[in-house]
Amino acid sequence: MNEEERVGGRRLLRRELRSSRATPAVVVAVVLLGAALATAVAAIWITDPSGASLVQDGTAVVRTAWEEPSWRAAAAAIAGIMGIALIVLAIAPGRRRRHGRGAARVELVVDDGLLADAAAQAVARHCVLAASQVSATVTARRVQVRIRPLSGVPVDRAGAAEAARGALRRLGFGIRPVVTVEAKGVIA
Amino acid sequence: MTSSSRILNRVLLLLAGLLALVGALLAARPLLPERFFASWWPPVRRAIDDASHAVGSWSTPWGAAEGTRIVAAAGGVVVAIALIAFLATRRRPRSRTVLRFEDRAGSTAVDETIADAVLTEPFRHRSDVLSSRTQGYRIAGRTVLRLAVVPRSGADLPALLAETEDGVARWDALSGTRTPVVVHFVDRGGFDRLRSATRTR
Repeated sequence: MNEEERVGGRRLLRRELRSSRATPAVVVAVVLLGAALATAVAAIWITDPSGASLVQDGTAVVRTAWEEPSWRAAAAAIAGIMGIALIVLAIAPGRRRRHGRGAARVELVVDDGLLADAAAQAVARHCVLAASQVSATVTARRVQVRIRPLSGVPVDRAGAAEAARGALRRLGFGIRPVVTVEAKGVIA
Repeated sequence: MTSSSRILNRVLLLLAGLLALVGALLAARPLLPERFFASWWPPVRRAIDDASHAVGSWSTPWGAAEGTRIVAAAGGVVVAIALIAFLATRRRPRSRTVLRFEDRAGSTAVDETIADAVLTEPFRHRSDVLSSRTQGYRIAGRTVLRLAVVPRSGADLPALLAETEDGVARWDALSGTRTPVVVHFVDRGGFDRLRSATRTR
């Protein structure tokens, strides 16, 4: 893989791992479009005598509501919450629940759920437990493995962590395992 | 959607968020303590008044409308056109033609179904793959193939990756190019979650 391909691959991966924010942007654009068209139509229509009374009535209603402190407080609260939410959407990285890396020839993207499955199965095999007794959750840098042991049978916690780490390393992802063993076991 | 237009999504969200915050501040002004606004609000208010006065004094030669309305109508139309252009460019850059050869005899276009047939062929007889498909995209002026594979619960993902790389090597040999390929191992969703780990025939 040459340098240009590697740079292009990194860009492809970034697209796959980050949200494009297309949906909220389209919703906001449609709302703003409605507002802009309404402004233009109202400004043109008001020159016509029949439209003038209607537009003026509308403006009067809005103005009365604007003078009312409770309405203004409600409008301010709604606009403030919307504004903060939109700015967070614009700035937050928007990580999707996937992991990615460049493989030998292709760019590999794996959903976090599949990585969790792989880790949980490796741990269940290592500890000789039923698959239903091990569950795993993959986050950005960690895999949380929870084990419900057989009652009275000790669990090799370090070995379980190593099994989870090994399963993910075989796929090329260095994700740190955190193993918790529940206090209550099940009866075999 | 290209990377620059993805940035545009965020720019629009940021501008709309700032607009909403300014609106919230204006609406909350009489309800908040005066000292928050005393230092900067009067000059801003005066500037807005001056501007609206100056615009209001404009008039068209035919005298039909006053300046504020012309500016409001023109501003609304310009913003509307910009937003329509923005909305028209929001789509995934699908490209069903993944290859194109030109020679003296003419030009040959290769459809994505050919790439799909080559790249998903290794999975067709594997019992640990539920489904797989290839789609072509056009990103930054290049065609990109995206291979989505839904493995069965308990599938050997490293072995699947090796199979995929083999398939891509066959595609490279067949097409004579090195098309960028993204391989996505997709988690089982919906009814696929209920499927068993083993395939029965």
